[in-house]
This record gives sequence, structure tokens and C-alpha cells, in this order.
Amino acid sequence: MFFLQVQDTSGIPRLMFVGTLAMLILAIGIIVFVIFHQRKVIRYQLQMKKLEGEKQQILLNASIRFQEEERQRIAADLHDDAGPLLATARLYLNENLVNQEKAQQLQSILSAKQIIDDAILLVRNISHSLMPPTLKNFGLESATTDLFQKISGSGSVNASARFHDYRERLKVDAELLVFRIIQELVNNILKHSNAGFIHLTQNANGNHLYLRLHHDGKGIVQSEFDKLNHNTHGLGLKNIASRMKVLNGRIFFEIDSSQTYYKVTLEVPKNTIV
Amino acid sequence: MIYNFLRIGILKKIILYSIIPFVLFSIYDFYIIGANTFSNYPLIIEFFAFIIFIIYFFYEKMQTVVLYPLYQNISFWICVALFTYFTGNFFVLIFSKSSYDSEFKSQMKLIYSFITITKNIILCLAMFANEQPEGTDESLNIPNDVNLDEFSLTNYKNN
Repeated sequence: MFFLQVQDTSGIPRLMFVGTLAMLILAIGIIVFVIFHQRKVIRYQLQMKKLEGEKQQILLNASIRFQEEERQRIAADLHDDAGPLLATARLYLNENLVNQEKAQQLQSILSAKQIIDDAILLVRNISHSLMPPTLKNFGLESATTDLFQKISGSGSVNASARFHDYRERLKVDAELLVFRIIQELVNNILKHSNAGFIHLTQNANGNHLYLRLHHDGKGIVQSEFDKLNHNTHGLGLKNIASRMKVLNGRIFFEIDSSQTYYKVTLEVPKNTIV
Repeated sequence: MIYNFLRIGILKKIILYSIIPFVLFSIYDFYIIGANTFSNYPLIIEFFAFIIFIIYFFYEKMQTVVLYPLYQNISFWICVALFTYFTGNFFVLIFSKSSYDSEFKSQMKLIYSFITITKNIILCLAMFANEQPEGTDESLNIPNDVNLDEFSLTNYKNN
């Protein structure tokens, strides 16, 4: 402060005035800069929010499209398979049946019975594809284990699932959504990754249920998942994202630190409102 | 007050522990100068420290991701008021003992009054700030005790 204690005091008022003015300009400059910088950040965030909204719209569209595709598939199954089967059975059981000989009548009835059995099986298969009976009756653990056993049984991939803490079952609808996500992930792994094994681990903590899929094929990481999710293609991943959204859960794709296998982790709230 | 506005723990500790040497210095300065003389050194240090802390507060605000404008924040307006006061009166305080000329004194009073009134007006504006609650951080934080990595490539091959 001694440098400011000048001998000639005539210039001090001027110096004080200029100093104060400079300090005030500096202060105003800093404040204005902070406000403008922050506004810029907010604008950027709003833009991000808008993009997020667009992404949600894509997910919604994907979900609707998926629903339509599923309806079309069921309609095609019923129209192309169940329809002709029942029509054929009706042909065997027409009014001329009474005029036929007994042996021919028996043959027609047996044929019609066989066709009806096939139709029943077909309807059952369609129904099972809509809602797997193991899932409905025995829960997610049994359905998932069953799915992995079937995959492993095919011999192409070594698949296994282990549930550590699933004493508290999710609601049926939530279980179905989780099961569909697992199915979709496994399907993607089988289709695109060329994996030798798939392993699923389940655990729980507090109000959350955790599921982690490991596989040694070619996988994706979170950034790639986000990128694919923004694309108009890739219905499967969008369905996964929209289902996770319905479950109010989160999904995370990553590669293990050893770089040998990929991991997909699902976090699902136990008391999800579905 | 500034202590509560800041987020970084280490800076909060610095503020807290700097009170002791500052108080000791002020007592020493008071003892040396005497009761009848005005000493501006403790005040200059105080003003300087406040200016630094407020600049840091602004820097911290710039680093923080927010969803609403800064001018809706009460703490921002309080800091703006104090910043105006401390920066505006900084030179007044430095030169307060340089001259006893009546013209200089009246100019000093004028600047001090203008800055203080501005500070009070800004503090009044702070009362109208419509503060919003802060958002939550979103990330997949799996608790450490959840075992999801029992699996490893080696034990899988061994099975």
C-alpha cells in the first residue's frame, strides 16, 4: 500500500475516481460475461433437451411400429396358417359326409381331427409367443433359465443364467418387459455378435434389480447404443430403450476392462409402475 | 454467507481457517495504530479477499450445469451486490488516508454513497429472484455390494 501513498496529493482524487471507475467496469464486465456464458450454456442445454425429445419421439414411433408389426405377424399367422387349416377341416366335415361310406367317413373325421390338432398347436404357439407360459406361471427366473437352456441346447452358443436374489417377483407386466428386453438382447447377440458364450447374472439391492449379460462376441458400448438409438434404423434397440423407459429403468452397454467380453447391465426398480 | 454459497470443500476450509489469522492481524493492527486512528489495512485485506471469493463464486457458477438462468438465483444477486460494493469502494478505501482535503473527502463520500445505494438496490432485487430447486444427477451407480461380475472368462471355461 506504500506505493499508493504519494507525496503529491493533488492527483489523488482523479486517481481514485479513475480507479473506482475501472474497478466498476471490470466488475460489470465480469457479471455480464458470467450471465452471457450461462445463457449460452442454457441454450445449449435446451437444444439437448429438444434432441432428447426428438429421440423420445423416434422411440415412440418405433414402439408403435413394433406393435403394428407384431399385429401384422399375428394376423399373418392366423390368416395364412390357422385359416387354411380350419377351412380344410371344414371341407372334410361337409354335408356330404353323411352320404359317404362308414370307412370313408372315419377317414375324413380322422383327417379333420388331425387338422384341428394342428390348428390348436398353431394357436398355442402364437399364444406362447405373445406370452410365454413359463413366465406367466413360474416367473422371470424360470422363463429366462428356460430360454438360456433352449439356446444352449441348440449347440451353437454356450448360454447360462444365474439368479442370485429373486425372492421378490416383479409385477407380471414388468417381468414380461424385462423378459422381452433379455430376449431382444440375446437375439441381437446371436444375430450380430458371433459370440461363443452368453451368461446372465441377476442380483438385487435396495429397491433395484440388476441383470448383467456377458458375451464374448462383437458388442457395442454405451456411446454406440446412444448413436444407434438416434438413428431411424435399428428397431430392436429402440424397443429395448422404450421398454426400459416404461420400466423406469436404465441400461448400460460397456466392454470389460480386460477387453475380452462385453457387458450389458439393466437396472430395474422393484416397485415399477407398469 | 459466501461460505455457504461455495461448493468446493477445500476453499470453504480456507475461508474458515483464514478467519483466525485475520482476526489476530486486526487485533494486532488495532493495538499498533491505536484506538483514535483509523486503519484501513484490515479492511483492504477483507475487501480483496471478498473480491477473490466472489470471482471464484462466479467461476463456480459458470462450471455448474443449471437448467434455469443465473439471475433467478438469490445467491447470485447477493454476490453481485457485494461485488459492486467491494470493487467500487476498493480504491476509496485505499486512498482514504491519503488526503484530508475537503474536496477529496466530499468526492470520497459521493462515490461511497453512490456505490452503497447501488449495492442496496441490487440486494433489493435479490428479494425478487425466483429460485428453482436444483436437479438430480443421473448416472448408473450400481452399489458396490451387488455382485454382477461373479462371472469371468476363466471360470466359465473351467466349468
